[in-house]
Amino acid sequence: MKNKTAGRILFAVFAVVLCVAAYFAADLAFFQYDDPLERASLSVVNDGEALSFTYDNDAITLHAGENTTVYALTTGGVTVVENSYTESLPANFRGSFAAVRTDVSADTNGDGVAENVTAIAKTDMEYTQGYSATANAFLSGEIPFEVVYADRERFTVYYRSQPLENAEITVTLADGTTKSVVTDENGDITELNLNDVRNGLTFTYRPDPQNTYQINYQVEADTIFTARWFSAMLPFGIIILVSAVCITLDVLLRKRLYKNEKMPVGKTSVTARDKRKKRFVFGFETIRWGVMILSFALLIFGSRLTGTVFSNVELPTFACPYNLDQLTSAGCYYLSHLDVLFSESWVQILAFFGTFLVCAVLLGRVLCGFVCPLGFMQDVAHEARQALHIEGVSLNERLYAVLRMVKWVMLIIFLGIGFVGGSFCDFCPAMAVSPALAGFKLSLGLGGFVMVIVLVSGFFKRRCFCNVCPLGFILGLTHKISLFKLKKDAVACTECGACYEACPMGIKSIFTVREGKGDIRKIDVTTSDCIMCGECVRRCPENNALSVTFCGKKIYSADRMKFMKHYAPPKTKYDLELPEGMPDMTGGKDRE
Amino acid sequence: MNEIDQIRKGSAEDRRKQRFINKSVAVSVKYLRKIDELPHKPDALEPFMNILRRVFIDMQGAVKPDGMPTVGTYCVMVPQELIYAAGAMPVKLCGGSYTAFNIGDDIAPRDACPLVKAVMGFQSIGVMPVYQECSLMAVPVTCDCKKKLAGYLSERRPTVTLHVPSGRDRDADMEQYVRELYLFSRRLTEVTGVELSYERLSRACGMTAAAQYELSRFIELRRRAPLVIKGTHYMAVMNAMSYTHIALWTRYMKALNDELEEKIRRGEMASKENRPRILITGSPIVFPNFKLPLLIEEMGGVLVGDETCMGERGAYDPPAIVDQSVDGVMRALANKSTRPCTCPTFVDNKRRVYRIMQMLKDYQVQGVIYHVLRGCLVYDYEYQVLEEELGKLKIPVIRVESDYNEEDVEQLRIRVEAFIELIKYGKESSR
Repeated sequence: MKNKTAGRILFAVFAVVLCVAAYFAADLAFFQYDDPLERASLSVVNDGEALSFTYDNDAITLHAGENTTVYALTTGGVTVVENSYTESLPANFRGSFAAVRTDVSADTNGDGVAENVTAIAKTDMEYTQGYSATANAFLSGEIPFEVVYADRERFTVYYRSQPLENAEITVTLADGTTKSVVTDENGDITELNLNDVRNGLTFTYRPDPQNTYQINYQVEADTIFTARWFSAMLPFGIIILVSAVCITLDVLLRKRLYKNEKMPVGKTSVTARDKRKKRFVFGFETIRWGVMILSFALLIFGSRLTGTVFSNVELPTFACPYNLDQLTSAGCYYLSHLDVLFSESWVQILAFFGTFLVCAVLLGRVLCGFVCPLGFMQDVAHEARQALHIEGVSLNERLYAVLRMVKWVMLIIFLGIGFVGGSFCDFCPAMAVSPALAGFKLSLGLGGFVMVIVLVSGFFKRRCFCNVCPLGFILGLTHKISLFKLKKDAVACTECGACYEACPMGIKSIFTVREGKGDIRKIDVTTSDCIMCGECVRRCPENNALSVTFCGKKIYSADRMKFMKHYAPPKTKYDLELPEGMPDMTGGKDRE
Repeated sequence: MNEIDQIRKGSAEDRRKQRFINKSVAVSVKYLRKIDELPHKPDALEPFMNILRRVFIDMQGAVKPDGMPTVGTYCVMVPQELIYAAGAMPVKLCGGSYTAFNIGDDIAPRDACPLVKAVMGFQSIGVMPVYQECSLMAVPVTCDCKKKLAGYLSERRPTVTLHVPSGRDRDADMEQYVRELYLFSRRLTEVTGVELSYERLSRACGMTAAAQYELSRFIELRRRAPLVIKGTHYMAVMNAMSYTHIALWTRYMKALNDELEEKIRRGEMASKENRPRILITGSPIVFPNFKLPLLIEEMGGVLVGDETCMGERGAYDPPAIVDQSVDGVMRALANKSTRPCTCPTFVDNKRRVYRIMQMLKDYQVQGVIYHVLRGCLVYDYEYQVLEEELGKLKIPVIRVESDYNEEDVEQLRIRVEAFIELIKYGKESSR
């Protein structure tokens, strides 16, 4: 009894510490980048290239000619930039620059008569980009023609500070191809591919035969496998390194402990290698890994791969919304910032809950098992342990009871932190993964440490974070009406407990349930924890004892022969693997 | 004690041993001949018969590579993988010998079960090489008789007792058994000098997995065509497994499966379609105590399945290795040894009823014979529950009690015959 009370007090202290830490998460810095303005620099060169901005890591270069004026957008309005900023940019800058050159006259339309060309270049730094309807705009008299890139999907064209409606604009892409587009009644162009924008493009507008306006637009481009990307990956690299060190220390410590306690041999053999080749069996698991890898790629590099963003789809997974390159936006943001959500309009709120409910009912925690990038990271960590044959933590009811308690604390933090003035994002481990991989430089608060915990615990216990994930818990609430179900045939089941051992979520009822409403051959054993990973079905050795159903139709059932194939050597190997000196018993009845 | 006395005493002992061997061989020859004479014997059964001949008639040791130590095991709860991983070979020593039973009768109390009496008899007479060559005995503490057997053996032989939990739903029970297995593995290391490692465990698991793959294939075949092989022949195959290195057994099993597959393709069944299909369950049926399966098939029934621990269940449950580490494999082994086990010594055993219900469906069973060895209380307890459940399904069931002697054969014959007639007529009247 005494132990129990002590345990409770300890847990209460832990819960309070966790809550307080989450509140001050932003101050508990794991890795701090300088402010974007502080680390950036701006230099102007006259190298004969066309008027444009280019980026090299954090250095912005303006390729300018004679008679070029550079403007910067500041909190106080538009100012002229007189000199270069080689170290950093002033703090009152808002990350947008424009340059105008008016002395050029050239024949751009090929009619033999030279026109007055107003060449303009504009750039927006990365941190100014986002899924917000308003973007940085100069709208000043010195810049007669301007494009404003908003919401990462549309350009609004301004001519003399007024939106240019129904006008024909020629767009020249970085590779030289041109296309003609017409702005709509708001002056918007929406048909441009995100990847084209990333590479830089030029808009040309001819209001009359004498004048041509050209604007070269460049966003701060983050390309993969460049110095810039590696510097964005730095915190994530540190996290992996720290995790590896933690894991090694843990293994060494355990080895020592077992030695001191004189535990039986074998328990500590960490480096054991099994050279036998595993037989590959195609199945549900293969499909799951396929989907996981695909969704990992799409949720991190999605817009880079496809060129579009479905910013109105709010997928409730831990794909970080700070990563602007993902295919959809993430529902976790509004859920963890309910105060922000409630300050939106009713339509917005209803739309959010609508899409969320559709996701939850249609897919539910299938999202956790198949889509969530954080889940994928944990599965990779688990596979790493499988490859190294390092022993994990013993899974039992006690462990899961503690994890369940932690989940409640996490849920309180997740839903409530916004109302008391904190932000879950500073605490969230996902922030360390997805933006870094996509090349966004993000300073990490406590989330960096949490990510280390996620990786280390995920290494020793499969999908450990999923057990305490607040978003997953909310997704699981609708499991009763979800379309995916897990069904058990209680008669076929031998209660071998393999499903319970295999389950990363520690759902014990799947193994102990013997009776249910209606047919005992079709008991619904789906619980709010189930992520539909199909591990239980894969490890089930009884025909049809467990099956995953979709709309009542079996899509994946346990199969004894398939189970056996998973771990039995190929049939032809029986003859080869006979130990030496074995007697032969095939002789006939010669003894009689 | 003078020399003459010693010789006289020694020779009396020798005479006793010789008498034992003669009687025991005679019984074994008789039953092996009966099995041999059953019609429709597959050719691939011969190696299994040879194994039984070698052990029970030629009085030689287990079928294994020379110099490999053997470990005697007593219940299905001892994971064979662990023993193979330690470089030894497990031998299932649950006895079925009438001759050994007679000796054991004087050692054990009257109401003890004949199986344990037979084992004690073998131990006391000390002539069976399979028993004598064992370097270690592993006795799981299951029923009362096995518990006392463990005590009896540990005074005479190097013995490990494995404390099997009596319940299985709590995780703590399973973890306790994992600890038992670690201790067992340490004892094995002391015997064989081979340290436990992941690679060895994995190899051993691969070996038993191959056997279980073939066994599953066999079950699949029989599910498709329940009549393709006589149940008695199959019982002989499973009994032969107890004394054979698993890799060799797998090879022979593969040949048997191939032959049966061919037979199914040709539509060649071991019995006629209209024979009553019978399932046997209850106390283990150990060679040479084959009177019940033989009676069933002599009286015109077909033994299509068995739910006994020297039969299918002996190797039925595979370890589901979820975690590929030493600890993970140990957990999987502890899991598969206790949780799916339908042994009635566990407190809660609803799964046995379900298991039998599943087998009724798989093998299209028409009647169940519940075999109880005299004195086997735990199996006797579960008869009531099973009778009730089977009554709901309208499957006839009889309880058959027998002992390790041939005096009750005629009485059994009448009961089995009546039961088979009952199924036949029941079938006709329902038509």
